[in-house]
Amino acid sequence: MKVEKLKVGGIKSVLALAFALAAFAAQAAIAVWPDYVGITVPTNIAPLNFKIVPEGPDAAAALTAADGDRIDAAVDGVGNARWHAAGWRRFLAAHAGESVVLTASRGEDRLTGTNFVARLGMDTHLTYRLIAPSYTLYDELGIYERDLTSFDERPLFRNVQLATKMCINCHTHNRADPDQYLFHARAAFPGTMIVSKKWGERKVDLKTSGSLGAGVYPAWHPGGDFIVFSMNETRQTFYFSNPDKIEVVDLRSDLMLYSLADNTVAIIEDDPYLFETFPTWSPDGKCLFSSRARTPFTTMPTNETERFSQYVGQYEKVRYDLVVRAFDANTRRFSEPRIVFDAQKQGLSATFPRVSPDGRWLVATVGPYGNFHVWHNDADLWLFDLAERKMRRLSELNSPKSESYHTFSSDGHWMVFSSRREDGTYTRPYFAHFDAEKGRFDKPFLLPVENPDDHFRRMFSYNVPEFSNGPVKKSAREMRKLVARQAVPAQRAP
Amino acid sequence: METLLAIRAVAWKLADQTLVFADWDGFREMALPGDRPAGLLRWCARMATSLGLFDATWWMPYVLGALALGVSLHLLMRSPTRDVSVRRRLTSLFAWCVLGFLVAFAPLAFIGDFLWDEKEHSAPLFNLFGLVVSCGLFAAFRSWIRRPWGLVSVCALCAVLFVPFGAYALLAGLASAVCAWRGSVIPGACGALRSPFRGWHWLASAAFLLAAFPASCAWIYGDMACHIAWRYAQGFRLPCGPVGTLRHSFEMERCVRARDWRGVMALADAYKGSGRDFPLRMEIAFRILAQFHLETLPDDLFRYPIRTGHFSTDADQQSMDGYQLLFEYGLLQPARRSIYERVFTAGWEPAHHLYLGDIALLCGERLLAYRNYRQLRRCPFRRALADARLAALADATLFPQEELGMVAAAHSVWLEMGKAVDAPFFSTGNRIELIAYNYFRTLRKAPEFMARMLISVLLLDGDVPVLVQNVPWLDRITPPPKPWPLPVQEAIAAYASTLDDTKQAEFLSRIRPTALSPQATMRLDAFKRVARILGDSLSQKDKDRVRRDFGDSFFFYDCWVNPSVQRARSAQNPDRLDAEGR
Repeated sequence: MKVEKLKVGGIKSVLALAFALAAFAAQAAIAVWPDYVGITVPTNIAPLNFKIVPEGPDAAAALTAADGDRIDAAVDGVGNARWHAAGWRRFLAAHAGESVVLTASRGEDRLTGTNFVARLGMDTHLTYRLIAPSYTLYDELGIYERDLTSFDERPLFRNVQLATKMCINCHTHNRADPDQYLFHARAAFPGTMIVSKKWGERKVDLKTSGSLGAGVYPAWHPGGDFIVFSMNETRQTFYFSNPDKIEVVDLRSDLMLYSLADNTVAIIEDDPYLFETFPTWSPDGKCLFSSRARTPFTTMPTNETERFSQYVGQYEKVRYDLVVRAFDANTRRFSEPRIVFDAQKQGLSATFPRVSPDGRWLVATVGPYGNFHVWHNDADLWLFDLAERKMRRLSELNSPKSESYHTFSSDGHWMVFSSRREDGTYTRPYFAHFDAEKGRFDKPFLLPVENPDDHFRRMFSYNVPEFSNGPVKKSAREMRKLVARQAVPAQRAP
Repeated sequence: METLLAIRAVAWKLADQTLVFADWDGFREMALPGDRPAGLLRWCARMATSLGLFDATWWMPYVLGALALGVSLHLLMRSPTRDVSVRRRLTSLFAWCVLGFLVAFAPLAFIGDFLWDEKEHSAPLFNLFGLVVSCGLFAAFRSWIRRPWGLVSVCALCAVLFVPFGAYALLAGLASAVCAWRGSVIPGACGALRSPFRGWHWLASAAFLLAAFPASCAWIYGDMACHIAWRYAQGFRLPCGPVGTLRHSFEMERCVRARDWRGVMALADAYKGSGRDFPLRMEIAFRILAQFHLETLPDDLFRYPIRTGHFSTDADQQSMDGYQLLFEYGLLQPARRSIYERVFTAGWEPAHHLYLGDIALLCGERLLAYRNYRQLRRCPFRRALADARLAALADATLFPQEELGMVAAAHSVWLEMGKAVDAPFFSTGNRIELIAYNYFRTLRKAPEFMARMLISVLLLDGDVPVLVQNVPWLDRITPPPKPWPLPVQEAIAAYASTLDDTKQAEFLSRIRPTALSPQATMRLDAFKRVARILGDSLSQKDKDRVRRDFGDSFFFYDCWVNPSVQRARSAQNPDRLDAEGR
């Protein structure tokens, strides 16, 4: 195989291909990657290290406040700019609530932009699952916790600690509480691990007689006494040439209410002609939101193969509305569902509803059809004003690629969401400041890492990013013990 | 000699399969994590495997094996001991037997760190490196442990060395500590050496044995070597049969990766020299692939004994993966899926990054291509290739036309045809004919090489009616006055013979006279006569005769080889046998 010699400047200039696109977009001869220009940063975020592109020597970067206070980044020979951690923290703390100017330069070329330092910090930790873009199989995966104030990342649990073919998923904190969380294990050591301040820790088998299956997508009740789970029968199919690559569908889905007090499960909805999934609670715990769609089955299929065959033929017609039910915690009863967003009527499908802590706003992932929107390039985030009953596409957050799973911080001033805007395949977490008064988000920014090249070296997606306002106290070894337990079967509520 | 010659092919294959990053970050990720001890050994073993040293010289493994053996024995012999009889024991008959094992099988360990089924035969090179390290550490610890604070320092060192060397460091530490504590020979052998390389009981029993009988280190390490050898012996017990077949299949893989299509054809045709009556599935699949790229489909399609009954995109699991076939046919999304599934069953390989990068490049996913080429660049001996690909990302004029041009063209065709189809393509396998049948029933828009391929799909599946629908466009492949490819003529002739006289005349009148040669019709008549005479039963003699006379014809294939046709006919007539007496 013959290799032609590179024409321009060796490999370093070649590697600048993607970054040249950023430079073009910025209308400047140089750009920074990740794009940390024009953003609002929390006071406690780790240093936002970046790369000055095109790569090359003699670059410089600095942050300057209005009063002349300045910090300079250490820039190496290829343009990687790194802020000194202590200096960065001091600078942000000193200029909270102020605009600061970011300057990057190489020779005569200069880039200048204004960032804003928020008055307050953000939840300090982020939990996510690292998983390769999977098709039908998976190997090593794990749930990790990242300290957002530094670059420290630690595994909470990795499947290799027990069995490689074990799937672990759906880790969720209750309102960013590091002492209340859950996640599932599948295949090997199956069960749901629940850690609760009030009820202790347990491993539960949520499948009961007559239920569709074990719990999948969870939603903690704010009081910590209940958890609503969806139950899903999920299948995957593959496009031949569609750039979306994969279509994941639910053949059946229902909702159940799990009570931690008495380890019981009550079925909320099990209509075989309805798909009910993605539950989420209002901050006061009085309402349960979810996504609901009518099944495409003309006649109820008798088996899974038939269901799948019928679904595949009409997959573009399955659209999810957002519905809400009132909930009485004393009686554990739900009202009939009421439509919040009639997506079906607009030719849309809304999933993953999340309500802001003040109860006014709801963010959902919306696409033209279906529910597994992480694989839909045209999936976007939408904002719903529950008070004024208005909605809009979040143009300030969306990109031509998929935006999906999102979570508000515990104070509601920040949101983290998953995006595949970089390359359409590897999901990365982005943060955005939220002005709850105006209902607007500021420009999002990518999770900071110590070396920007780490984003390319990491061949895993950051799946289901969830805030927590402190570290999980369990070590990976302790988590292993919990996962290795025998699951206690939940009982069906009378 | 077969075994020796296979070492080279195996070494190449393992070098090609082993993913290890030659930069500091790769070393740090693999060698240093504390939760995965012996990472340094693992990294060294992978690097040694990926270096592919054994491609040029088959004797290299023996040289390195001898070196490792010599170093190990030297370290053991130098162990401070006042018991002169230890040396004599080491010269005992048993020691020589152990040495014999090590000499014979240790070099095989240097073939690589993995066998093709790494889940079953894990890391023999890694273990051999560990063996050498353990010998060295034991020799060092035995001298230190007798000094003041010796035990404390050895324990501390073991704790530190546990990260890079894992259980091998602990073994050496335990053995030296027990030696120092007991101070004298303890008779008897420990019987707990049944599960080497794992378990604290093995470490403890091995340590006691070392302390009891210093020459028993030969037992322990000999036992390790025996297990290594046993695992290699198991590894050579392959589904494909003799070692010669293994070497042959690896050589064919190499030709496919180098896109040496004529070489693939030659290797595919060489199966007869290996003493086999029929080629392997992978040979069939690759030969057809080579014909596709040489644009000679379907000219000599049935001169090769195709038994798969369909246009295969799968090869034998133990050799090439389906993703290679899918990629070379331009089926990029299915190829990508296949790669990821291969990754999850067998781990990442450098080739996966190359192919994922190429798929992304051809699909216009430039950042995704960049990501994969960057990973490839970190692998030893792949930097130049990765740099070339990255250059192609930056400058379209550097696109590797020779390597990827045809794939890109094929992909464009599939893409264009796929636009007419909105539904997901749910594939239970990688059967191209499913794609061809469901979506591409016309050859009108296909470029010539794709038309040739689609015709071959139809022939191999025996779908003559669909082929007949495309008769008006067959002249695209062979314009007048040339006759159509012989398999096509035979299929058309066979179809025409099923029509009544009026319809047959009408059908043939639509075909240009020069498209069909009289030979096809004459051969069909001869075949029919033979088939009538033989009826539904075939003796071995008759089978051989039919295959000899008509085995390279579409008639023979459609009647007696195509499994789907066989199944349909068997369903109608259960007593009917096929050409193989099944």
